[in-house]
Amino acid sequence: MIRPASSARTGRAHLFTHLHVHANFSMLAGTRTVEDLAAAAAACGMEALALTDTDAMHAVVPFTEACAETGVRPIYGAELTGEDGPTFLRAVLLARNRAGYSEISRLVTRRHLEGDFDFGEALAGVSENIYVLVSHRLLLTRLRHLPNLRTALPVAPGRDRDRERWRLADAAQRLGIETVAAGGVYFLEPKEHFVHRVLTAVRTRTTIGTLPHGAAAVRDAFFHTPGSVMKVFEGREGPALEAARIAADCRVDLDLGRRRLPGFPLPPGEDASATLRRIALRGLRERMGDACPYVEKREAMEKIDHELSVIEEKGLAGYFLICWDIVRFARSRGIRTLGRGSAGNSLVSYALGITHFNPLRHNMFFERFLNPEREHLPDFDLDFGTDDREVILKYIFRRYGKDRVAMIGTFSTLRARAALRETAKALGIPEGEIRQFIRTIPFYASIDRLDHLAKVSPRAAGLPVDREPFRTLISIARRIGGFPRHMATHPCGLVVSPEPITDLIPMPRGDKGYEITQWSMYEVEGAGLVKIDIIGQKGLAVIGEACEMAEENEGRPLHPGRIDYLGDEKTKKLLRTGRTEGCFYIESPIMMQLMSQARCDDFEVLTALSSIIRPGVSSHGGKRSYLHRALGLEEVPAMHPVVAEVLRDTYGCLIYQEQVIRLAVAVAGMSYGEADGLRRCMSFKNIAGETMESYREAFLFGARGRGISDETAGEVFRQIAAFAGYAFCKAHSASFALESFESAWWKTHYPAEFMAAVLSNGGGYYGYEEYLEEARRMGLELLPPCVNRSLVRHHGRGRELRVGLMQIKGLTSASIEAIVGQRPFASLPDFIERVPASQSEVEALIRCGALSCFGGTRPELMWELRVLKAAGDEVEADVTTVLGLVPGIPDFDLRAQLEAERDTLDMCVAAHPLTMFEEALGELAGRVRLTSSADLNDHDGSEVDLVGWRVTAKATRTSDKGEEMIFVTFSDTRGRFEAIFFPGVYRRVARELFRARGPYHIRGRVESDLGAVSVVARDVELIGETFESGLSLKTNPAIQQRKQY
Amino acid sequence: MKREILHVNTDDFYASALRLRDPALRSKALVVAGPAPRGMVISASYEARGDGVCRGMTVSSAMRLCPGGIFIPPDWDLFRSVSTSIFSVIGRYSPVVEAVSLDEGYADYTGCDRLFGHALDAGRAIKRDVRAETGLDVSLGIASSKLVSHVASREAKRAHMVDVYPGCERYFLSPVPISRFPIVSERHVPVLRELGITTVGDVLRFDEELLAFCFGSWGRRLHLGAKGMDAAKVRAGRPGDGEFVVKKVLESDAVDRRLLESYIYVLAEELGGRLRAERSLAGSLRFELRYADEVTAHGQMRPAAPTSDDAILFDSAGMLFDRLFGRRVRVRALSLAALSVEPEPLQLDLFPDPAQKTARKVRRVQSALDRLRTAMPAGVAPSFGRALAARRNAAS
Repeated sequence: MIRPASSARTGRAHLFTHLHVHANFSMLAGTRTVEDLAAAAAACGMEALALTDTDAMHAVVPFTEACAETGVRPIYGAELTGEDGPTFLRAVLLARNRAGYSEISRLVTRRHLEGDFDFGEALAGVSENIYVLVSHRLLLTRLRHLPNLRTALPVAPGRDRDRERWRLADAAQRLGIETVAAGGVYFLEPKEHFVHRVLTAVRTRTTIGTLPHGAAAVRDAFFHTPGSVMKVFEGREGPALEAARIAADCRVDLDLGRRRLPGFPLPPGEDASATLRRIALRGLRERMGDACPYVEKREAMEKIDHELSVIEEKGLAGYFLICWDIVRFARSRGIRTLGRGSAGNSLVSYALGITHFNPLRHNMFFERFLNPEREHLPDFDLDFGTDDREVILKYIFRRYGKDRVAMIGTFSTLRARAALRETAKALGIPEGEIRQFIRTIPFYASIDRLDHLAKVSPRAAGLPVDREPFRTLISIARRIGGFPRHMATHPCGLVVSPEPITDLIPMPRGDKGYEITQWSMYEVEGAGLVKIDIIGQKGLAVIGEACEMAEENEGRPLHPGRIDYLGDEKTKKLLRTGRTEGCFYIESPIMMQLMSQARCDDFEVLTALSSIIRPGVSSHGGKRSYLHRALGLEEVPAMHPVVAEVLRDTYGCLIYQEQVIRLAVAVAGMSYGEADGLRRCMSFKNIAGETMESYREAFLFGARGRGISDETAGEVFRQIAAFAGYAFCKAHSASFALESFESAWWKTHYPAEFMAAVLSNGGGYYGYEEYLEEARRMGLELLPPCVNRSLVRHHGRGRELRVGLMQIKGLTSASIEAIVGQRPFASLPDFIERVPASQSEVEALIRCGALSCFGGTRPELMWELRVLKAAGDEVEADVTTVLGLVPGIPDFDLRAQLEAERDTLDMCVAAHPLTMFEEALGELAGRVRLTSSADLNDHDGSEVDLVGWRVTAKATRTSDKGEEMIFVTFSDTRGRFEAIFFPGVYRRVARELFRARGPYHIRGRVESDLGAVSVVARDVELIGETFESGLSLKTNPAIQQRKQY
Repeated sequence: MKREILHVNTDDFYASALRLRDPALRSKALVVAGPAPRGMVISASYEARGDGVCRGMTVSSAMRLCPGGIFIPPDWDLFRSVSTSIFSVIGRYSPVVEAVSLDEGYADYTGCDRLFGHALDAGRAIKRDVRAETGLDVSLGIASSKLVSHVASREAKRAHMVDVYPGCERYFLSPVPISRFPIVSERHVPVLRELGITTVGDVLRFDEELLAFCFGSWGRRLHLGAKGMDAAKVRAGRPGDGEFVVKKVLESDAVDRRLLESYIYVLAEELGGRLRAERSLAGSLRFELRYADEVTAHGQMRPAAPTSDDAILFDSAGMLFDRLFGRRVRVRALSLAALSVEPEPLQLDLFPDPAQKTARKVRRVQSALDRLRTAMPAGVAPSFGRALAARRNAAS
């Protein structure tokens, strides 16, 4: 750490200020956070400190906060880079005032957006509001006319640096430019140079031994103390004093606390609040209809009036109108929308068509969304189908101005596994070794806890944390873990600003093609800008596609808006039986089990279930209590009448965030603002670091004042505290439940279309294989891809589901387009002639059976292909002769066919994957008596032997000792079953369980809980030949490619 | 004359050799491998193979599969001496013995039956003598070609002997899985399976012309091979005979370019010294880089003229290194080989040009250095070392 002693010793160290400093937001170059740098500056007695990240102003907000905390004045700037021909140039820009700050922000934006960014020309035009520090002679010559140009001299001691200083000072003198002491700072201490080199190797995709020349900063680019800098410039202090003078001259107030609410474009003379009121009232009348009872109408009018007055008071009318406008546009294009999140609590949102259920009928709570005391701006979450989202975004950018709209940026950080992997590559550790090392680390693990993990986690047992090269690897990875690595586009956040965004935040182009803010969500919100979440959601896309397919198949419109999803008996039956694989949000094994246990077929219950599977509720036993009380197996315990009233709908269980606010108001007499603060404190969005304990005293004190005993209030508070985590707000759960109902309806009435849509949209919780198995279990006929019949996407009709061409691995989009555009094809030569597909693509088509429509078996087609490819330009007659030599060859046997399908499609179309292992299974059946998953109900309490194919696995920890255990879902040819591996067993079989997807022989005891059976596993072993561990949807590049369709 | 080729394969060679040295290792699962964890499995005994351990796997994986196994580093001196003993026994029964590796080789027995009787008797005698002199068991395949005898010895695995009668080759080969046919590499197996060829016999269901049309000369060779026809001769000698190869296995894997370059100039000097000692010149050079994950990259280049000059050898090796070292993986071993080796011309020009004079001077310096290096212990002898690298950098 930097010692302040040096400044005390020289007595003038505080005169010098570092003006060229990189934090870790100079991605993969800086080794320290802004907090570290600010603390170091304060420790040295520096009055100010500059932050000049490379082509970036990512860290302005955290830097401001860190400086405020340490009493150092922030100097804002950036290091701008560019090329002049083959020469790579850089200049440090420092803002003298607010105008200078905006100018730098715009320059950084240009640097990112302009493909032919002219570095020299851009710098030549900078105003006097910016200091420009340069140490390249060519650049100095070109920019010498600038009023605030300075020659930056290195500050490190040493003979080489002396020579460099002398050379630069000489050049500066000849050009008549002043000099300033400003060496680049990339790390705090000399020993961190190694970390910097590792980061550079990660950035340049090399190793620490093969870094490109000039890519890494020099060894002495560390944070020199002012004392040592003054010593370097002893006798000719001018440059150091100039640094202090510049520091004193740079004063920028960003006014970050000010709200920057966007306005809605209205005709002159019209007022946003009045317009909103008019639209909302009209919308409410339409929504409620004429048949609505008067009492309900009156209640609604009173409620909406109250809400509108709060909205007006908060100045949010424009914001509401923007959201209304977006939804209106979507509706006009026939695009499905779903307003979710706390906005569902608002009647105005319902009236505007943003949300789709009446908050009054479902006992929602507006104050959760917006209340007069709420400091934070509310945000709207608007969901659209995955493909429709692009249309919506384009509209918003066009409507509200490209300079005032941006997607929010997000920092992709080096998390534990990525930090280990990237460091390993930089150190040259082979991929295989590091993969083996990393695969044993659970995704949630922190690098700091690896030693501990190796002792407690069954999967991570024996992790070589003390052995080289892993020891070095871990120590470096620990050092850079959490560092930002690049900027990406936030999956949904969009900001609409009343003024050009680049005045405050640079806007580079993100990975999705839209301009993004260089600040992340929290900083953007902190700067008073309003965020709207435009979410691309697969669930809506699935429903939309299934609907389109069904309408096309039936040749008539189905009017999905008029369907009574919540009242359909067949849909209710599907939900009660928990057969909801593929349905939005209710398809996980645990949710399906929960629904069948609760015999859930009601919107309110589904809303509650969507919330109680969240960790917040389940961690304090809420799940079990709710279930037992709902089924009448347990009495609702006696509680204080005030509490009982708030928790009446949920059988005395605390399951919604709204209930927290209500309890805080009712029990402790808190204001809505305080109650919302308590709610935010327990949410994961709590970045202020407030703790629940800070609210406890206030809670108890308030309760006392209302005559509620400390004991009762303490218990209520304990429940609230235990609830802390990720619980949903009720409105959010209800939005999801509505969509879940809708998707269950489509699964019930149009199963083939629905499952085809699920597969086309990349599935959800499970992999492709499992969805296909579900389709098989539903009795659908599965048809392989066919070049003459398959569409690009999967297609369902009646009881048939045809695999789409998009599923074939390695088939390029150009080939798919050619196939669809050129068909029908009569034969393989005809196909090859008209489709420019490579040999490997045609082989894949043959393997998966997509060319079997030409007649001939797969091996025969393979020979034909070989001959045709080998023939090249040979005379046709010769080729025909050779083709005549191909004898009749039998087709692949079932096993080979399934292997080929799995290889090319990631799923087995012809039969369940276990069929591949008939021999091994037959041998096992000869030794033990195998039970099928469909017969488990008949074996309650018995020991059984099963075979299964691993579908999914979810690890968790026991509540008592915190040991790891795992729930694994297996499927067999007749169904699927859950197996529970308790810690003792899991420790023993962890490795075996993840060696492959199957086939597994599972031995255990059948247990039933409220009608849901599962197997408590005692042992598991892999049988037969194994496959590589299963393909993950997220990592398979072929699947990434499929997403484009 | 009827050809008779013997293929001799030592069963479980590495483990058996180690068991000779230490009988306590008998019937235990043995894995011969480099040091853990980065070392690779060189060989596994039958017991260890039963647990799934196989050659080429990392030691850490092998340890997981076979936790009770005994992991022993290779003793190359022992292996070489045992191998020499085995081949000396075989040499007693055939004038032409080709050692393919330490543990297997061919012997051409054609015409030797007058000396040692029927090939089967000779085979038995070889098995008996090897067993008596080394304590190891060998499997033997006897056939009319190298190819068939190779398959035969594989089929004879574990101390047996298979004699394929002339004319019966195609019947013998017919049921053999295609993956065990020496002509077919691992990469070809799935291709052939998809074409409906799973056994050697399946090959003959297809016309030779069809195979040749699709696979070129390899297809024709496959078809002939499936019929048991293989004209390859047994060539006397051992692997590596007459080769100029220098290798360096790094003490620890390295990724530092400068360090690796320093090893390369040591290799170049060593190779140059060997070439000069044999009064030979390298017409071309082959450089091989083995990464820590056992992936190898190799390249070849031809210097302007055949040479044994350290500096030119280093330049060429350095250029190859720059071209090959592109992965983000540490390097484990380097090797440099001289190819197209030719004798150094003895005739000198009567009126040499200045360049030749300089070359001759360099040659004299190098000869002096070579003499010093021979006389002095390794590591003490003078080396151009870094000077070569500096010269190369200056030139570039």
